[in-house]
Order: sequence, then structure tokens, then C-alpha cells
Amino acid sequence: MGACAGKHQHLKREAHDKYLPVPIKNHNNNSTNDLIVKFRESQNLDNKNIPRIYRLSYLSRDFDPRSFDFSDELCVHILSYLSLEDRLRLESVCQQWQRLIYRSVRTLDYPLPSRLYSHLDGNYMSDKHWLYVSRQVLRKCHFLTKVRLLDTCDTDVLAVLAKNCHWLESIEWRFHNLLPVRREVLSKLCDNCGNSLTCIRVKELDEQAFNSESGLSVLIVYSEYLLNIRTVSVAIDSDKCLKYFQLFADIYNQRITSLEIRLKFSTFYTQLEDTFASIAQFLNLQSLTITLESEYPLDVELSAGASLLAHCCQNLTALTLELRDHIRCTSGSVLESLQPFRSLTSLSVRIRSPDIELGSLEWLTAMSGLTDLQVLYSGLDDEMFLNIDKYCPLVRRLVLKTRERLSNETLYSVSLLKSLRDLRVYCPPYAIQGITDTGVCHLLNHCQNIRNILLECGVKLTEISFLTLNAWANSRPSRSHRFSFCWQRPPEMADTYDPRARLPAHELWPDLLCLPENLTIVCREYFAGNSEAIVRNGIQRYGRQFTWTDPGVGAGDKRVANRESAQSGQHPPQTPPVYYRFGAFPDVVPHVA
Amino acid sequence: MNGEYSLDTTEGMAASGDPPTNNAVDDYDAEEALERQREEENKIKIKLKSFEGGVYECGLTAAKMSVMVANMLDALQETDLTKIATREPIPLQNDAVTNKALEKIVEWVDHHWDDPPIDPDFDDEKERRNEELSHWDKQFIDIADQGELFDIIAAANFMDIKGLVEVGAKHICNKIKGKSCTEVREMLKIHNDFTPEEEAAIHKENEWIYAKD
Repeated sequence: MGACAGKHQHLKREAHDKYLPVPIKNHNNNSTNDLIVKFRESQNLDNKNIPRIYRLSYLSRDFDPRSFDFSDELCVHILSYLSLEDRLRLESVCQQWQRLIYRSVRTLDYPLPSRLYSHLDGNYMSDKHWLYVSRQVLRKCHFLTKVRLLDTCDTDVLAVLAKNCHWLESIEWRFHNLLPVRREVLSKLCDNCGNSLTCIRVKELDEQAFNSESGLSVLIVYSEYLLNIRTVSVAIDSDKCLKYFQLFADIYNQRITSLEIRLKFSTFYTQLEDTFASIAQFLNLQSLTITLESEYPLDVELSAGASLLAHCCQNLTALTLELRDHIRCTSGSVLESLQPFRSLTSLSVRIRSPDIELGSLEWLTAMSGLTDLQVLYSGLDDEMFLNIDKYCPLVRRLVLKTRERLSNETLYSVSLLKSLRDLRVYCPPYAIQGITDTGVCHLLNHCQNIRNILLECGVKLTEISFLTLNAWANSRPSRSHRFSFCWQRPPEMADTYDPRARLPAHELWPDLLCLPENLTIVCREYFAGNSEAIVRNGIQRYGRQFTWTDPGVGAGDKRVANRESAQSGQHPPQTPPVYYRFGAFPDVVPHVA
Repeated sequence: MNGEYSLDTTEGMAASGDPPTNNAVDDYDAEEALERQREEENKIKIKLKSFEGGVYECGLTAAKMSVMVANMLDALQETDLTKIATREPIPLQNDAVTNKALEKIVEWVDHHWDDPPIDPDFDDEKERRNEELSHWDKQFIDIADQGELFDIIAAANFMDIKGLVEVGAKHICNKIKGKSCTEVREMLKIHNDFTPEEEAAIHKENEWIYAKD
């Protein structure tokens, strides 16, 4: 028995090592079939590469055909569906698994899946445990390409990362408090994976420590190593480290195609023009995200900056602009000042300040190729969307977030967009909007290309909508369709159903249980049994998107106080909203988002 | 799932990678025509021949789910599709393609040929990886004979049918999820080729994951 096992092992290893080019077994008379000859010619394959052996039991009768004896390639693929926890536990199954089981782990994200912590003692979500777990994981997973690190990540973790992972493509971390020892580790990191790194995100800093010249300085110091960087995300205090930014722009202006930049102005005297001029140096930009914020009320002249950028960055097709509190526009509305960007295909505007005017969508006419439009603005209303099909007829994805009440009128206007494929509307939660069956059916009947509708707002629907949804999906069996909405139980039902219990949507609409295979409906009840505090919390959370308040002096303390009081139990615990998902399969499971 | 429905500040507003391309099949009519063509083509039956010599019949569109078969047919440069139907069976030259395996594979592609194509605009690989198998797939892949199951996976991999390999891989991973090494070895009939010392060393390294069971 022992000898036999030894033989197995030997054969197995040898076969694996050679990656298995094996002669064709010739018990097939048609092996010279013209089809195969032609195929090989067309694919430029010689006999060496084809066929391959996928299981060792084909090689030798010694192997039990019922045993797991896949080739390395296939083994990696099969094991790639395991969770990290299972991988760690099953590493010692056999030598092949030990070699391969971590090979398909490509991302390390913060936070790690909580199951990994659950075996550790104490308060298992603490940073200390994250550091411990990630050190263990990094030691094993050598093929990571994308990592997102905890802010307080220590030199040890970085050292392990630098030592083991040579294929990193993207790294997201706050480069701050550079200690001398870190520099060593960083240079090793850059040395090992400088060539493969294409994306560095210096995470947004919290407001107290808004001082990231250290992040920029990493990029500047190691610029010789980071030759393939394409995407950079930084947050800088534009007044304090403009010099650094200019230097950074001088070095990287040819390499970077995608730039995310968060600019903060902390003094009255700002050099906005200079900052825009530095951004305009990045000639190859394709995608740009700018966030502007200020500690003091600040008037911004957007249109001059916009003309400059549009003139210099000819390849720019995607633009995201976010304006936060204390920023005010002097030169008309936001959309008007964005007019010079004529070649944009994707535009996202987020206005998180009450003093700024968005402007009419008519200004978008200049961007004739616009296919992706996302707007976050508290004052969006039905009237704004009148004639939207004339202003941006090619839009395929439309995302709207507002604090106003929207009604069927909006859906009527939007349904004139012939290429629309994806519509998402967000309104304040726990309030029923003026959207009903009529609007939804109109949209479904008029937009032939639409396949994803998300109404994250209170909607009144009846069976009519579900019938239309069924017809919508059935008219295009080869397409996946998705519809999501929120609802509130009608008051007349209060007697029939317990108001303190959640009501699964299919009890109200039995149609949901027999949907076509290509239709998924996701819904959420604005649950009457929720405590007032939860409702208020939800509304506040939503509202906060539109007024970003400066957490300057005092506010920081308040936040800490909030956290403490939440821990001591004064605030109700946050219960995540419950979504029900209905699809072709009969198992209806609530999904917690 | 998570991101899409959360009400967080920027979720759902983030720029979604590449801007959608306009040259994808967008037109309602063009798409319908393509669909009808696929349907027509699937009425043409072609024959596939296993390594053991068994011949199985299968719709053309369904057979093309195998990238390998599709490539072979492309190499023929046959414009008249009906001729393909009458020609001799397409041989599948790999040990994995046994009669039983090919029979099951044909069953799978015949059920799945009209699946909606993956839409690059909405596709989320992470979500797809975590998605459960459908009811039909679960019943399909629940095969008593483990050797046959492994043959199907190997054959699907050879024929380059991504969906089926995924179904098989997910099935195996579901079975070994949460099990111990000994149980997995027993279940998958894997020979333990570690010395006791080696195994103990690995176990010690990963001790923290077992610590509080």
C-alpha cells in the first residue's frame, strides 16, 4: 500500500510539473478529420498544445476516476469559488491544493469579511485584529492585484505586502505619517510592483487631519518606479500644498488618464486659477473627478476653469463635479459653466450645497454625445425634465437624486429618451411620491430599450404594473430585466395585517411568485412598524447628502459624542432596510442591503 | 446588491468605469432580428461525437455555447448552414468527453442556449460569483457518480463552456464549504501527500482560523 501511494505521488507530481502535454491516444479512426485539421490551422495550434489532459485518471489506470484529480489550471478555477475562510482551512488537504488554493484571491478589501474575525477573542472588529488577520492573509495570497488597506495599517503589514505581492495593480490607502522605517518598506513596495501598479488612491482624509502632502510626496518621490500609473486619487488642501500639486502635475502629466481630486480651500486667499491650470496640464485625461470644498464661504468662478480644462484636455469624456457647502457659484448656473465640455459622454453633477443653482438641462445640448447623466441636486422637479429628449437624446443611463417630490410627469418626460437603458430615481425615504401605475406603465411601453428601473422612492403600484412588467420581460426573452421600488401598505389594510410585523410583498401581490425567468423584482416596504427614530434616522441620512456640513470646530466633538451615545444605547440601533427579491426561483429570501 | 440599493452619499452615483459604448446592439429591431436568427439557427441540428464514439445531436446555437465548437465551425467558413447539419459528426478529441458527459452537456446547453447574454453595462462579476445556482442547475448537477461529475467539468472546460464549468465548480465548492480537511479528502477521494510534520506546520500557521470553534 505504502509503495503504491508513493507511486501515485510521484506520477501526480510529475504530471503536474510538466503541465501535461500528452500524446493523443489513437483509438479513434477519424483523427485526421478535415475539421480538426482546419481548426488547428486556423488556430495556429500544433499537436503539442492540443489535446490537454484535464484529469490525471486519464493518464493512468492507477487513479480512481472518482477522485478529485484535476490539472492545476482547472483546480485553480474550481477552488476560486471558495471563501477566504474555507481556503485557509482547506489549505492542508494535499500539496496541490496548498500550491493553488490562494492563487485566485485577487482582492483584499477593507473591511475583511467578518467571518474571518469571528474566531478571534475580544472585540473582534477592532483594528488590531484587522492588522493581525491581514498579515496572515497577505502572507498566503501572493497573487493579489487590488488592495484596500486600513488607515492605521502598520509597517509590518506593508512589509508583508511588499515582500509577497508582486502583482499589485491597485492600492488604496492613506499615505500619511511617513515614518523613516516606512520609507524603506515603501521603496521596496515600489521596487517590487512599481511596474504593475496602475492605480493609486490616497484615501480621503478626515477633516481634522486634512494634510496629505505626504500622499503626494510618495507619488513624487517614487515617480521613477511608478511608470505605469494611470489612475490617481488624491485629496489636497489647495492653499497649503499647491506647490506639491504643481510638482506632481509636472511629473505625471503624460501618464495619468484618470484623476480624482478633492480640493479644499482653507484660507480666504485662494489660488483657484492656479489649481485649475495645474489640472489642465494633464493632457491625456479621459476621466476627471473634482470635488470642491471650503472652510469659509467662497465664490467660485467655474466657467473660466471649465473653458481652460475643456481646451487643454481634449480626450476628456467623463466628468464628475461635486460642490460642497460654502462653495458658491458666481458665474451663473453650474450646467451653464460646464458648457465648454462638448465631447463628454458621461457627466455626473453632485451639488451638496443649498446656495448653488443647477441650471436648465438645456445647457446639455452642447454635449451632443452624452450617454450617461447623473445628477444629485435637492431641487430637481418635474418641470426640469420637460423636453429632456431634445437636450440630451442619447442618454442611456440616467440617475437622479433629489429631495423634492417627483410625479408621473417626470416619467412621461423621461420615457421620450429612446436609448434609455437604465433609470434610477432616488427620493427621500418614507414618503410616497406622485408616481403610480400610469407613469410606470407609460415608461415601460415607450422605452423599448430600458432594462433596469430603480425607483428608490415610495411608489403606489397595483397588479396592473406587475402585468405590464411581465409583458415587458416576455417581449424580450433574451434580456435580463430588473425593477426595484419601495412601497407602503395602504391604510385600509391596517386591519387585515398586523401593523407590527413586516409584510412580505408577495402576500399583497401574489403575481410576484410567478415571474418570467428574465425578470427580477426587488422591493422594500416603508415599514409602518418601524420606530419613529428609525424613520427619522433614515430621512436624515438621506438628507445629509444634500447638505454636507463642515465638521469644523465643535462638530467633531459632536460626532464623537454621537458615537458614544450610540454605544451606550441611547440611540436605537440602526436596522438596515429589508429588501425582498423575487425572481424565477421560488425561494423568496429577504435580502439585507 | 449591496451598493446598488444603499442610500449612502455616493453609492449609485459613482462613475461606472467605462462609459457605455454605442456600438453594442442597442436598437430594438436589430436585437430582435438577432434573436430570431439565433432561434432559427437552433433549429438546425448538428452532431457531436464523444471520444468514446457516441454521437449526440444538438441545436446549432446551443452547440455554439461551446467556444471551442464555435471556433471549429468558424474555421470551416461554411456559409450554408444547412450543410453543417448534414456533415459528419464533430469529433471532440479529449479523454474527458465520455458518452455520459457529452449527453449531460448537450442537455445543459439545450436548456441554456436562450439565456440572456451578459450585459456589460450592468454586469457585476463579484455579484455573479456569489449568486446561487438556479433550481434547474442544482438538480442538473446533483449527480450521484462523482467520476461522471468530474468528467463533465473537465469536458466542459475542454469545450470551453464557461457557464457549465461555473455550475460544476460552484457545486463542488458548496459541498466542501465548512468541512474539515479530513472530510474533504474523504469526500473527494484525495490522497493526503503531506508528512504528518508538514501538515502540523500548516495547521499551526492557520491556527487562528480554528481557534474558537
